[in-house]
Amino acid sequence: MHSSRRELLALLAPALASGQGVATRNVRAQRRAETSGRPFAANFVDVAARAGLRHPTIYGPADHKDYIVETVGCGCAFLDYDNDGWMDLLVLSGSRVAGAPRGTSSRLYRNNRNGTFTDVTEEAGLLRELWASAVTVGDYDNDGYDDLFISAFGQNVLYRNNGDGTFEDVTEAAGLVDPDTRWGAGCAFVDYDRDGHLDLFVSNYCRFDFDNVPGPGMGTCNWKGVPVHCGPRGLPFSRHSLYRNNGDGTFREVSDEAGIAKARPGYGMTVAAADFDNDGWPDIYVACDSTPSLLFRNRHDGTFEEVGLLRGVALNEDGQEQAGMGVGVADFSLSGDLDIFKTHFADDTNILYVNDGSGRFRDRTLESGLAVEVRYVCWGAGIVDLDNDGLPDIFYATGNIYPEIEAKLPEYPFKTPNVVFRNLGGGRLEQLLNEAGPAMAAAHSSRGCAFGDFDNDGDVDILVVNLNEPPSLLRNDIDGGGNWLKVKLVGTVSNRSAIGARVTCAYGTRSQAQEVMSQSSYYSCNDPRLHFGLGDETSATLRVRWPRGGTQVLDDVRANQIVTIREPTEPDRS
Amino acid sequence: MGTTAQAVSRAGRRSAAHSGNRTGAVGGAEHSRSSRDRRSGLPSGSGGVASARRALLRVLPLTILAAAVPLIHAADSATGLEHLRAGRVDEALAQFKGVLEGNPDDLAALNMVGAILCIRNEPASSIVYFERALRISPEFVPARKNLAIAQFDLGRLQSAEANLLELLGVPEARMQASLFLGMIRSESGRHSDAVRLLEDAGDLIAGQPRALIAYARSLQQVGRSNNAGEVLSALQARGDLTGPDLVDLAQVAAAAERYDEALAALERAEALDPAPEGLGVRRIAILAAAGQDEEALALARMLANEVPDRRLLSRLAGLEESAGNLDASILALRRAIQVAPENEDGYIELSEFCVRYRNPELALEILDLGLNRRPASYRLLVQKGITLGQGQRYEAARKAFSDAVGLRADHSVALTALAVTLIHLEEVPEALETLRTGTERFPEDFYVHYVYAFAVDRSRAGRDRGQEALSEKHFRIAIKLNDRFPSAYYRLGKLLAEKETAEAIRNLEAAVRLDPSLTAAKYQLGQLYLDSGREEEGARLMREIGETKQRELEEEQMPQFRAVKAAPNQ
Repeated sequence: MHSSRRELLALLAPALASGQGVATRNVRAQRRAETSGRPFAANFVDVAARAGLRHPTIYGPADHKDYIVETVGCGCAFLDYDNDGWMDLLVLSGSRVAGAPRGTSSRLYRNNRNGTFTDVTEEAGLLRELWASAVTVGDYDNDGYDDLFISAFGQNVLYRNNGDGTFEDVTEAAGLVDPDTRWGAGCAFVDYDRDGHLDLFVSNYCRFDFDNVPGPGMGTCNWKGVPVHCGPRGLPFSRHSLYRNNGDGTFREVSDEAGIAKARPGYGMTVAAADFDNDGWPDIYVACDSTPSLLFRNRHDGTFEEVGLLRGVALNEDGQEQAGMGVGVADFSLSGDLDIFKTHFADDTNILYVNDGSGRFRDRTLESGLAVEVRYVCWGAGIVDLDNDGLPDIFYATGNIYPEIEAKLPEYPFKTPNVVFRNLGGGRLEQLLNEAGPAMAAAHSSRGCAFGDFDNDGDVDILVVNLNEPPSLLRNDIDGGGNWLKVKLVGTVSNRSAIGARVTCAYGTRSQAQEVMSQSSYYSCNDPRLHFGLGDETSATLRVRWPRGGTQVLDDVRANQIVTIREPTEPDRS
Repeated sequence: MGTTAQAVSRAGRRSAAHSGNRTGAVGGAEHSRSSRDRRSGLPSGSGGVASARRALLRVLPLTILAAAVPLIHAADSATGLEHLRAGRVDEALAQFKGVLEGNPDDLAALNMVGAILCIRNEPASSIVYFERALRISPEFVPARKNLAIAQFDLGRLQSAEANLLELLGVPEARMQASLFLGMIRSESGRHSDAVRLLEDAGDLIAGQPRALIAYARSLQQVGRSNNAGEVLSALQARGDLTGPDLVDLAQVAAAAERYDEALAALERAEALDPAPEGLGVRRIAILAAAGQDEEALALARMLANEVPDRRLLSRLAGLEESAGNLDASILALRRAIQVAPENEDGYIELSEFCVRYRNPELALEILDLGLNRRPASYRLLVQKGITLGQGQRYEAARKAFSDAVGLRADHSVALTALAVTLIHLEEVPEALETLRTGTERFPEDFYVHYVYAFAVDRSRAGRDRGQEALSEKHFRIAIKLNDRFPSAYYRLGKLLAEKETAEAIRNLEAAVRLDPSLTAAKYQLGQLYLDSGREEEGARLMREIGETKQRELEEEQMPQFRAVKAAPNQ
């Protein structure tokens, strides 16, 4: 009976899915502990329609997908493009192989400051049909206005903000036009050499050619026996790119000399640039789909060393690849270091990597309680304090990639709900099934999401991209929640957007670190104002570490306000 | 070379010199260190019955005389023994039965009757007498020894094991008990134990070809290939090997990749009259293992045309499949069922083929055909359950496994599989209880303990110290019962990783040593090396993992992309 025992072991033990080229362990959900019974102060309501966010994100046909390019979707952003102190919204869009509806485009919505938005895409010069993937927001030319870089299947685009409500496509002038068709994925502005100018990292998903990829069901292209589109495994992988900002509005590719091109190939997705090892220099984490994720450690000399496996963030605790899509980066454990939450495929757990302070991480998924939920394909994510109790929670958006599956396997619906886990403290999380408001249960095939405060009421709202539907704008209506603080940073010696600046907020007995990042979640960009929930504390001490090394300490900052901190031109304490 | 191996070599040379004298165990016993070691009871071996009988005639008088119980009918016993020495087995039996008529509780007579029944190849009948003796006097060592040996001969290894474990504590029986227990351990895969026990048997092993074969097998499995080779060489030189001994020898030699020796052993078996059955299939298997696939396939095709039997057709199917001849493979599997429609293996193999080529529905149909023939087939039900489980049809799988459990209370696989299915159905408490009772019903089954430990570990809601301890306990038991199962070491190592790092590392190292392809263990081990400052070792493991992942990725590239290398800017 030995062969039966081997087969029995396969039933019990996690294994890579057979058939389709997506990594998932086919694990069962962890048993749920008893609920805490604690009330949750945040309540989310979808106000997208009444706010005027009406345009759908077109991404392939709604009822079937023949190619992987039609499934992965795109991101969104909170940004203040007109510097009026109110967050505007950017929602990316894709296309259709057979032709997209007229007017298909990414959309820029200007905040009217009354809970509504106006679509200003065309007047801003952003009306364009593109298989857009990701967006990163940053002031690459330090002129005081945030610019946009949008990666895409085809050609990436750099939009320079003219400061008058319009953008200009300066891709060619900036030296960022690629001679070949590539599939740009995650992207991030990052000042990797700390010269005060934002450089640009772009991950690439795979090399894709419509004429060369087999159709659904060919070969191993099936999922649980149902024919589906092929990939990513089996498709040719691509390299990632690093572009150095020359300081004059142009960029130069330095992928080879910086060591980026040497990395093991994989299917790159979201990019999260942050200082993971606390040495004052930004590193670059790339979530990779069904291949080991990458962590490029900054060596301070213009080069990087890929250390994902060594640092414990490439694979899960079983040494397996997962379908890495979205990345949340924040100080979940309140240790002063940045932890990583990464989202994955159905029948698998998402993963929580907790930083030990030296840039090495341990997989704490099981201990945290995250593994009670394995039903969904998960995308955009964030570690954010949703109820202002001083403990960062976890939110992620979900949505399947195979609309064809639902008819045959109804337990895998195409549209699925959002998920919230509240932080109980002590490294433990608890999934909220009904407590976070009606918007959480609404089912969509979502992808990117961004976190920000569009109504400036001191909490965190969430913008979610839904495939072939308008976005969701989840307004947070906190009832009786805790105090809060938002920190807006303005670089002077460092890059103007202060990307890479680290703020450590001490409130009561707790201390929490956050960093200004230009991409996280899934292909998205959050409100650059760092949000700290303070719980019952009425003031906090803020310690700022600027990207070029200067530090600043602000004592006794009163709660419940947006604090703007400008970098001193001379490094000092003020 | 150890003491035992030296003894083996000496025995081998003597055996070769006396190739016509098949003295079996007695030959070895003559050279044992003391007279008490000659009380070897019945020599074992499924094929050594004839030699066992002869051995018994030399040994029994010593066994009887050594009995602590006084003989009431000494004269009758002496007559009986005289009959035995003269080969008058039936008269001897009648004599001792006569003693029992006068005194039904005569331990020595009970033992003798049992022993003579064994000589007459009636071990099942003999057991009755040995057990009667032990009911009267549980400390009567000769009867317990003979009972254990009879059970061993009947293949009742669990029962034999229980008696042999008791005998290990009896000084005058220890070496014999070690001998037989060592053989049992070897056959059940507990090779470290087997080696230790067979070495404890001292010179006794030299007289027992079956024990020597077990010894060689287990030496090979624990990594002592050189010693295993010496034992195999000594065995090859013996002239007293029976047909089944030669077949076993061929198998062990093949496992040690000594294919020429394996084939030579089969040739010797073929020259015997009668030759053991199934030699053709074995030859084919060895040729295939030796990488001589074409020869194996040609031979299999030829033999299948001449004398198609099920095993041969099964082997042919495997070879055709490896050669890419899928139609021929299916045909052979179907023929295998046709020639032996009552044999479960045929249905199982064809259904596994269907699963491999992604037709689980047909696989289930085939299993149902088998079940129509054999509705009470435990194996077919288990296979059906597994096939259903692989297709995530867990309710149906549960039924199949439950039915199987109802058929065989003495077999653990269905019970374990049922528990796994219950986990998939999210009936976790019932699953855990099923496994818990399984560990009590099958205390020596490492696999049940492993699955229980795994299930307890995975069903924890967060950090539950009690469940961690329970999981740890059963992983340890699983390892104690089978020290060659890498997954148990891996899981235990992972469990201990944060509280007992040094021991965790040892367990993970064992896992990786046993299975270098177990990436999960390698990864966990690498992490611990890095955590504990062993940077170079940790980095090396991570590098290996990275290279493996890259190789797998490249191998999975669709054919049309394999020739395409990334251009500098792509």
